[in-house]
Amino acid sequence: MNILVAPILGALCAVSVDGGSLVLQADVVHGPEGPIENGRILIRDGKVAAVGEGLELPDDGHLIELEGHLSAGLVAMGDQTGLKGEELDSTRQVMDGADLAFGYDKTAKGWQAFLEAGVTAVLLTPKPGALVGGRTAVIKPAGAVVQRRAHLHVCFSTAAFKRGVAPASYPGAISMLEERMAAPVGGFALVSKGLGVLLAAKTRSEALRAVAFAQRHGLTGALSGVARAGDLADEIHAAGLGVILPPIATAADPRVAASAVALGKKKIPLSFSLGAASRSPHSLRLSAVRCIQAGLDRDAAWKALTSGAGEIANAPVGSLTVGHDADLVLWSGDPLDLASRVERVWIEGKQVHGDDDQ
Amino acid sequence: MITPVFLISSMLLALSSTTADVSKGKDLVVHAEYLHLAPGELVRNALIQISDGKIAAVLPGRSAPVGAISVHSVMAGMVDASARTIPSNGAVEQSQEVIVNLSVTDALDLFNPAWDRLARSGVTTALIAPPDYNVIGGFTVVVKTSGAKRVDSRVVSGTPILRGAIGDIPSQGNSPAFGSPRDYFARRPTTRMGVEWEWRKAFFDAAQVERYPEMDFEGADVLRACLAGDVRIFIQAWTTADIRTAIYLDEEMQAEGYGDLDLVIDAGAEAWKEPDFLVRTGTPVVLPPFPATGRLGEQAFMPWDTGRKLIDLGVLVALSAHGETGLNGRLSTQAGYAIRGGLTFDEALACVTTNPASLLGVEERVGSVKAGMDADLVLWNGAPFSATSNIVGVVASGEVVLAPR
Amino acid sequence: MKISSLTRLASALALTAIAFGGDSYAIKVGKIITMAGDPIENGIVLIEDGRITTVGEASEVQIPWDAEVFEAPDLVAFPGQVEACTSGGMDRTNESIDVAPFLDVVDSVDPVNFFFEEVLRAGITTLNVQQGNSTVIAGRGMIVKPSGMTVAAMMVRPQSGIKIAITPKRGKSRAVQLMILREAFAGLRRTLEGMVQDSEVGKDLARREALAQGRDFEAEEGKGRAMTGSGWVVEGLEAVPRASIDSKLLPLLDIVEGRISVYLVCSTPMDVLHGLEIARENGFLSQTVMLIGPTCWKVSDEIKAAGVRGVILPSTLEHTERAPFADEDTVTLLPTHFTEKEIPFALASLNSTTQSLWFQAARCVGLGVDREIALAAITSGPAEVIGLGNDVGTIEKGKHGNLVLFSGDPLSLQSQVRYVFIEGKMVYDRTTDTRLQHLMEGVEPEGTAADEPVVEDVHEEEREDGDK
Repeated sequence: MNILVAPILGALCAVSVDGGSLVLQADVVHGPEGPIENGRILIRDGKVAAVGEGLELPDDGHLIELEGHLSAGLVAMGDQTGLKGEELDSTRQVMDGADLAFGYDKTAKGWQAFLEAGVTAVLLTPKPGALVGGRTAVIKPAGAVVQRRAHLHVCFSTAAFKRGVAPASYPGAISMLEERMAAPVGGFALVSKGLGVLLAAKTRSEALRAVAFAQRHGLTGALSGVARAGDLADEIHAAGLGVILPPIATAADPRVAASAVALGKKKIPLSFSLGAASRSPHSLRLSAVRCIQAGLDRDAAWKALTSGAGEIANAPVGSLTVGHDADLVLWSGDPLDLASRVERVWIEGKQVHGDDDQ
Repeated sequence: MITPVFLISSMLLALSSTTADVSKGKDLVVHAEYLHLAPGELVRNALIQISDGKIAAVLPGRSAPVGAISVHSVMAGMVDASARTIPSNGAVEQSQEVIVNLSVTDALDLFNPAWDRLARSGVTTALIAPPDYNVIGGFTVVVKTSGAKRVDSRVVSGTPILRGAIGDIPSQGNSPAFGSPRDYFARRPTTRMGVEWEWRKAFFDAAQVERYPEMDFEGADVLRACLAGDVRIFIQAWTTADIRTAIYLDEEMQAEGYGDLDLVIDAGAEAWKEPDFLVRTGTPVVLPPFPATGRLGEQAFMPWDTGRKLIDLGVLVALSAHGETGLNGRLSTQAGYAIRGGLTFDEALACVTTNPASLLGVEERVGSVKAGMDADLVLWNGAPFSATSNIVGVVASGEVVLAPR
Repeated sequence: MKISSLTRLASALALTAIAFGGDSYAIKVGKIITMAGDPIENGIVLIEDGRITTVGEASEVQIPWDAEVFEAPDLVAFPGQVEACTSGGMDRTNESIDVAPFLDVVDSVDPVNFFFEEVLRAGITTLNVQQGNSTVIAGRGMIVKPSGMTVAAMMVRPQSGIKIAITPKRGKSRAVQLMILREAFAGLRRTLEGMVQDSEVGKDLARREALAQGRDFEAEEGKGRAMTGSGWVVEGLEAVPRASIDSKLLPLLDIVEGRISVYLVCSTPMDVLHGLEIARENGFLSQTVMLIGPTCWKVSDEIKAAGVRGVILPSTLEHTERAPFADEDTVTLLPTHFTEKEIPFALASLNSTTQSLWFQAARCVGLGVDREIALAAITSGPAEVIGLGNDVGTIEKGKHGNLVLFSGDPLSLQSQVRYVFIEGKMVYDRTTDTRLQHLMEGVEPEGTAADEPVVEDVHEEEREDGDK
């Protein structure tokens, strides 16, 4: 598996782990069960082989002792970077067979910023603008496609209505979706066999309709783009859906963060979206911190950046679970402290960003 | 040392027991010097006991208990048969000019602040219809204007009502199909004639299915239910020409033996001009707000005594705000204006409570203050609808949505 | 005081009216709400030469033998209502020149405009007509009565005030609006100071010339006058003959020197604060009437402290607001708020039929304002505000014989305006109001509308067939 790295990173591949194994030790390792002081991660064949305290160094192993916090890379949801011109096809309203993965350009110049922000997985979503905008994909910035069919993207907001084309109304849109669900083919057939749905909405009433739709058909997936989804926590919980929160980093309305808190109280899986390709991937952590300020449990906020987001994305990303790709980030301090920097980033055990001090 | 403590606690006990007598835990008690149970039914010094969102009992001749809300006058929460409080474009499926199998229920936005304002203006039940860009826009829904922001809990089931329009509006914004038509706007009617034709075609086609089952189409069953009188049809028709068209449509269906439409004319500003059409077909009218200059939508002219004229002829009349939100348009103001135009108080009260409730088929639940009905009350600081009175409180389904100051 | 030629003309006309008038009227009604003391049951109002001479109980008032008697024992007399500031009845209300105080509404009022008919129908007998809000300093307004076929006949007081808009018109910023406004007054000051300077220079030459010709120069100087502005003065202005000041600037000097009222348009609280500051700087605070917007209750303390002459409330008497990120509305009842703050206010009509002054007053009562205060806010209150407190607004001796005869309580929806009298003369009679019949009953006045096409009832035959 090739990783296209920027020229500056070319020299960093001094630590070769091909064939051998690598053990990383840091002041704190954010393992799947929680933080481990002076924890170690064993990486073999680009995968996480073990996580714990005082792991034995294997014979073929190489130990790197690091200062700071080591964690899984962050997962950004709902982004259109690298989909330039591909984020929305305006020729039709229902594109249940379209895979966004085909529009993914790993050479796009925006990806380096994601790595620098500690983001190692991204859920690519279509721009809301069609009733069914295609199938979402999980990719690694400038890297591989991890999950080609993460969800079917269904839009319940007015963005789905285009002048002069059906559907032109909420009732019309829902009736069209119901028709497809009644005799499912293509992407809808996958949905009826268990493919998750990504329910894009804006207002709370749109969200209620989306959640009701999912519940009616027993669908799994997540609600996306609803600033005040917290008011619907009961319904979302009952439907067993997750929530992709809109960017809270720049939201002026304090009720948006409060909404995340309400969802957190119900233990609803959360994750954060970047919202638009032009938004800095660094704002992901800021969103989480704003939620913590509003009262969201720290662990819930951290999960929303990492493992929880991985679960919502239906991909093995965002956690140091044994067997997952070793996509890691070394932080200068606690990653939920905004003053902490990203020091180094590894993808599949290979360092792709940061200084080499070994 | 012991005595004073005991004293205080016994006082507290006394206080709490008084409160319990009055409000019985969570429920509410309202006292009115004048209570209008229904048009023509006035009782004095009445106590209204509310339990579980319903009126539990009405007890006349009582004084106001301590802690109860007490006001000058109380009447039933008003019913607006043409509230039009969901103005979004996404409420009507314009891709077909005749839509009969969709309901506006799926387009309700209960989080819109307009609902709170509507409830505070004393309207506790409202008919929400799809906007009139279509010829037939689909099914309407009757909802309580306040309460949980969940559609299911707000819907009041009554007569099924289909909504459409005759006149200018459904043909506006469409374009004749010159060149290469790209969208549905090129197919829709661009004239009044076109709109009329769509109505006739819809019912004619549906009626043919009876004889020729192979002609069946989606929604034909709904249109046939309309012809059978099982579905009521609200037709917006401002001018007398449009009202005439609506009545002719009905009479034509009857003459052909296709059925008999259960019509209600909405926004029938010019119903007064040729009232015989309404009288001979027994068609009720929902009137739009009284205009300062007499002129209304589509250049219709509605004089202030319209209500008086129609009621004298035996036409069932309901007043409506038709989406107006300013003081001038509010439903309670319309009742006052109707009185200025010659209605008696009780007639005006009926026009904003029992009459619209019966048009919507919800008169068993709302529109009057009777035990067992929804606890929807409008509280006034003087005689209702009087220019010098104000709505000081509103109770909807037993919840205080506007508390007297 | 300088009297413009127009004022002279108006006075001359008024004199003529009196000379030809000399009429005596007696109006006998079931009840008189005088707005100057208790109501009088079975009262009589005597009016001579346009003014009220006697108000009293029928049993105590002797009707002069030559009086024209109008008897209506079922009706209630109420003072003609006063609209404190309106832009109705003008040909076009707005001027595109930013600073145009030299204009005069007298050239724009259209006596046959339906507006005057409508306000008369609602019982309004005095209107202060000012330009619209789209200029910075508007032209001079006038007070009229809504009756008469010429502007001169309608005139009650010319040059009754100048509207100054702090709130900019659409598309203009407040920064520019206030720049223009401040520059207008600064420009006036500069011009006057320049004239004083020029006159200092010219005075010596002129004196020498006068001496040479044997004239008394100092006597000629009397044309000038010391400046009396309370905001700022130009020293030595007495040396400048008034007639030499550009007549375009004179109205501004009238403002600064306190001779003309200012109607200050402030639609937001910030406008109120700017307006008060400019009024204070230029010395016209005490002759300022504020036309405020619905949110201006937020600066009611500042309005109270400034001591302006009056406040005209917006016609939307309730202000509903939702703070950013709040889930509930805050409702402020303006008349109640201003009553609590003890700021006297006048009401304004929202429109001339459904929500005319009487309706606004009724709304105030509904919102909890004392009935007397509400009634005063459409009669004596606005009369004071426009400076006509001695002439209109109440039914009492010495005032104009302006009366409205209602069929009942003036604030009732069921009451009708039956007759209106202005200066004793009946100017409105409901029984002959054909346009009202159209509005109330749909009766088209003859010859005013095209006949509706006759429509044949195509189903009539069928029905008749069916009946057989």
